[in-house]
Amino acid sequence: MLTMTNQEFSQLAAYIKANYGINLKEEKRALVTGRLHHVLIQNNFRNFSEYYEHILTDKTGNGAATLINKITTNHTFFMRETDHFEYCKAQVLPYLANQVKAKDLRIWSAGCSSGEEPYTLAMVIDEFFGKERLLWDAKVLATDISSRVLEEAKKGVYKNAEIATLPAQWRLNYFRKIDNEKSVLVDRIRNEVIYRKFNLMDSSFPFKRKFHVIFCRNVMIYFDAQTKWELVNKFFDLLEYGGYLFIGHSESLNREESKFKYIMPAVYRKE
Amino acid sequence: MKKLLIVDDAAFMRLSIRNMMNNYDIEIVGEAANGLMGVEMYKELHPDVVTMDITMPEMSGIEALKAIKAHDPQAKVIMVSAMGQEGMVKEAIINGAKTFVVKPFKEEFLYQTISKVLGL
Ligand SMILES: C[S@@+](CC[C@H](N)C(=O)[O-])C[C@H]1O[C@@H](n2cnc3c(N)ncnc32)[C@H](O)[C@@H]1O
Repeated sequence: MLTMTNQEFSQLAAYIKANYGINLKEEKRALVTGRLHHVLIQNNFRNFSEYYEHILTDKTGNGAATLINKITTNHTFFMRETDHFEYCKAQVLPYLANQVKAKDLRIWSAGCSSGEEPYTLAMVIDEFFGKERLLWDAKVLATDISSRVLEEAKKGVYKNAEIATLPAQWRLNYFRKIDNEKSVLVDRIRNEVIYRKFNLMDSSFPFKRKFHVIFCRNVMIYFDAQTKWELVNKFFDLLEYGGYLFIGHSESLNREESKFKYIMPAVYRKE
Repeated sequence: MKKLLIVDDAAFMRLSIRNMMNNYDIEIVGEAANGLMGVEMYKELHPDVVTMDITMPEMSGIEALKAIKAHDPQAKVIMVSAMGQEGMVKEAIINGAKTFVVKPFKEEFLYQTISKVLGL
């Protein structure tokens, strides 16, 4: 097993923080070493300094892409933090259906990982509008920094065990069994989610119009307070008035400082 | 100077309204962060006018409005609402709120609304 010196770790950690916002504390050293070990062996790097040099000088961007694919934690599942989706159905969608006269909803899943979150949203939307669905343009924009998870998400293939907890009606309507192991989302839902690679640390956000809803859940937990604060302010500017921000239940915004109105745990609104 | 009490759970909104009124002859006599505090401070401070957020923890704006009206039927309360709260605004008006403003609003608009309510 290769080891990482203090200097190698702090150098790599600084690079990752500067480029991706992810704050790797010292206790993550073993984890990082473990996750990258294979990459070093495969590419015949003798140590982490050589590897770091490669990341810096590699013009193709592949080195950095592999690094970020390895470093990010992508754990996610369908219907995660269920009460958020219930709130969407009971409050947010009825409000937007009433308010948005142009019938175009702009919903963003930022840090979407392998797609479970944006697809859950697409199914909630489909169920909410029912027959009226066709009258609405309500595609979900889903972004992540990791190209690996985006490729998985686009396929829309999930283990049967993973969707077992979904309502039977959903499994029936929205999934097609491939075999005893896996199922695939029907095109009707798959086409409702648009995947893009996007780094939340980019200084400019390339969105032409403001969003009605932003989900950024369990992403900012890896950022430090300052980075999170700046991002939350960007989200505020990127939302329409009356729009909602959903964050993870283990995260929270400082009520005294945030411009957002607190609605319920991990749900905020731009009023 | 007329006295204004701001009731809002969001520090950002309290600060915004305070800053907006900086340029006008309105004195902020108090800020309350929930309905319950709002009612207590009303009784204490006797403001000329109140801006009352609708959704707040502890006691909602509508409950606080009712309590203030019960204490002082002449109380002049302006509801501060968000889009999509038309139903609650209506309920507030029925319960004696003078009028309402919908977020986001400009400072001139807030001032005009306050002056109208105060008959300035
Ligand atoms: C734990 S997953 C959360 C997935 C989903 N939102 C959920 O709550 O289940 C965090 C995701 O954030 C992504 N991420 C981390 N830093 C990022 C950045 N700077 N820009 C964009 N995505 C980032 C990771 O690649 C990862 O897929």
